Amino acid sequence: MSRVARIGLALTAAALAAPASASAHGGPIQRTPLPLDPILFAWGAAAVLVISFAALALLWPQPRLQKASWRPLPGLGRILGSRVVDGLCGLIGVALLGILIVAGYVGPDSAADNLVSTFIMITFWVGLVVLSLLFGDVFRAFNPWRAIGRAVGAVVGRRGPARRPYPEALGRWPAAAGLLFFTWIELVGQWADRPVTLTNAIVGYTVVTLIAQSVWGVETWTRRGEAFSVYFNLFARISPFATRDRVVGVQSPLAGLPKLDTPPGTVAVVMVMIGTVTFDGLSQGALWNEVGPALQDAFAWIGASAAAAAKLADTVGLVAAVGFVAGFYWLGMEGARSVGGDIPGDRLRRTFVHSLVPIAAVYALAHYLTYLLFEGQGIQYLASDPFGQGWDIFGTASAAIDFSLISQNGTWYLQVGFVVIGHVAALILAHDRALTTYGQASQAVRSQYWMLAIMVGFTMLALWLLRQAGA
Amino acid sequence: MLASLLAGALLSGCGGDDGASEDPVSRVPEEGGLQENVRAASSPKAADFPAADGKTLNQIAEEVKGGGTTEVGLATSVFTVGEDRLAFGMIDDQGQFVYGPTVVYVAPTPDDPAEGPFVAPADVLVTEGRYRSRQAAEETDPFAAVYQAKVPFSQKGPYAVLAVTRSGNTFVAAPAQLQVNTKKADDIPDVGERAPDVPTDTIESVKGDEDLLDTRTPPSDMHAESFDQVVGKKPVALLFATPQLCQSRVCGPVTDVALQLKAKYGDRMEFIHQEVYVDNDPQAGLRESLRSFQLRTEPWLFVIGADGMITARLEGSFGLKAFEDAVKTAL
Repeated sequence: MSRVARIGLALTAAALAAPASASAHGGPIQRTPLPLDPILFAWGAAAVLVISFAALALLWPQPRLQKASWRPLPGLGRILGSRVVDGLCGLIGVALLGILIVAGYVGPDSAADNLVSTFIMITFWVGLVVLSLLFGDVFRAFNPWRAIGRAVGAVVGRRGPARRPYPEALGRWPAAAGLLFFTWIELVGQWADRPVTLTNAIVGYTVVTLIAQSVWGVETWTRRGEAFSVYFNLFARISPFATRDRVVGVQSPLAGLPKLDTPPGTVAVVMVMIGTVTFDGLSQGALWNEVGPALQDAFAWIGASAAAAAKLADTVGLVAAVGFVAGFYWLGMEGARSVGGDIPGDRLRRTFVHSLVPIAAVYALAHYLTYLLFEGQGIQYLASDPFGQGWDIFGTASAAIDFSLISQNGTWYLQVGFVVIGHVAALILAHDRALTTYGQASQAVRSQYWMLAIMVGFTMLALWLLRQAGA
Repeated sequence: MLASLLAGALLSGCGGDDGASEDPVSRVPEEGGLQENVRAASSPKAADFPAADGKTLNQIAEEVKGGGTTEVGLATSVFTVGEDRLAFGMIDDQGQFVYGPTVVYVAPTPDDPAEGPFVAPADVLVTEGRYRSRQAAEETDPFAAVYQAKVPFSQKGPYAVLAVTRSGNTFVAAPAQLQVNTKKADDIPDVGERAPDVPTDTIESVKGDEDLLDTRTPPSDMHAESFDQVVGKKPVALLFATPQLCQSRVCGPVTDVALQLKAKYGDRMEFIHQEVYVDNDPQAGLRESLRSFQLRTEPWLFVIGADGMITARLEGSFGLKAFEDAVKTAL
């Protein structure tokens, strides 16, 4: 073959790497189809709940979770719960807080490159949910604000300012407000994209927390008002591990939830936990893509800038999602009231709110699973060079995200599994509580028709949101 | 260790290590000698190849006795009279990219006297792991490096190209053909011209629909500002690319490359990534900003100085060095 002929032939191959013609044919982005129609998953999940409900009615005639099942962890229990370990964990927490603050201010001004964004939004916010579910109240041990407060209290001792009694009416409302604000930062403000802004928020929260501790006491504020302590403690109650009198012990999974005290604001905390994840899923789907822009247009029409209109619309969506979840729960509880028992609505809502914690857990797990598994891997290289100085402390600075960790189908099955397990757990908790709340077993079961409706509703909502988010 | 981290940060202050950077070739996989080949391809010497000495392109092709059916895949398509960037890949009969010291010769026809050899050093496309998108990570045959040569074209019209890669003491050669136009016929904004003052998409302009903003997985953070809001106020690197919908094998990495360079220069330059198709649907046509730049292919990079004037433009495939060199023109 002559060289000239070869030159001619080569022209057909040139397109292999040529810049893509912008008029190339194709279709809009299509998400990989799920292994089965999501509707089938939803019906399947609902069937599991109904069967579980029937099984509980027949096979669970006496309350089992209301009594203590805790026993010390042999050997390690006293060591893990000791003051020394508590102090060491607190010290680590304080050091991590310091590193994050320095990283936020000194490190790169890019969310992908700054430790603070990935650590706070993934390792802390999502990763600690998993750790809490598995190992109990891990955050309490590492809580930097509690550690600082206790250290300051130990130094100042009685010379410190007199602590005021915590207002009973305040209950967990500060925690609910704190969680709502944090999720606003995450979902609406998008502060995680701006490490310095996020760090300012961390510093601000630290100041507010320390002031509140100085006024109402470290342990009181940690238990009632500090948003993250309340948040992770609720999930930790699902865990088979719990600490009592400085001893770590084991208990039946879920056994920590029936013991949850329910001061004012507790229901609000759980509604925020579920509602904000609901909005996160909703905001990634077709429905919000219709509603959101319409709201933005409305805000723009009354004079808001494009940026402000977008934030206002998302704020409305976030609050509405929390309101929707709260309304749905209120409706279910009003239904439960109709079966008798003469229990005030507010008391009923507090009585059963612990049963929604597993739902909040699986909403978070299912929704943020890929976030944790993939983007969460970024902590490898960020921790090795926390301040963006070109360090490689752990030899992982050049690590990459392994996107083959789990397939899309695998992710979907896992998410559906979480959703179903969480809602069955919620049914168990509610059924067990109903047996103690209502004198008669038949009345307890009738009240749970409404709870079943709530659970099925939340299950459908969870699966629909996952589908919306393109799981 | 935690204390040392804090102390280290305080000692090092806010400066950071801006100058030192890892050898990009070291990120190329070592399997099958790929890294070694790319390293060799990064610094070709013209003296290692036959001089043109008035020989025709065909005569040079005969001289190097290029075997097999290696082909040139052009990665650039816009050429004007004067010096142009010619980017390409060498692809063997198995569809694998070939790496080694490479040069190009050009002539209006294969029987005209050739000009060259023009060295075509390989520019690495493999970014640091943290900047690798899902699209790039899942690429089974990643485009590790692209050859690029600075070639002077003295006249408009068709040109024949002969790319020659040295492999030990032997050569592989492959021909290609391209079209050179006059500067006047090139309607795409060029270096020295004012960049069109066009808006690019932000989360506000797509009304919160992040899927419309970026097809990269995970999405990049190069959508904070609209181009028209920053051009003329600070240097800008404006990248038109669609990582998910790209029809060639080379546009995913350029967004990753942009992210890596943003980490280094982001405090001095605004990095903006603009998706290509309306509603990410190729059948719906190009977004307005691409039409304003008269673009018909993608990806494209425009670097604009603080005065709003274009200081560099790159078409098609471009690696870390080309991108960084372009960035530096505006700083």
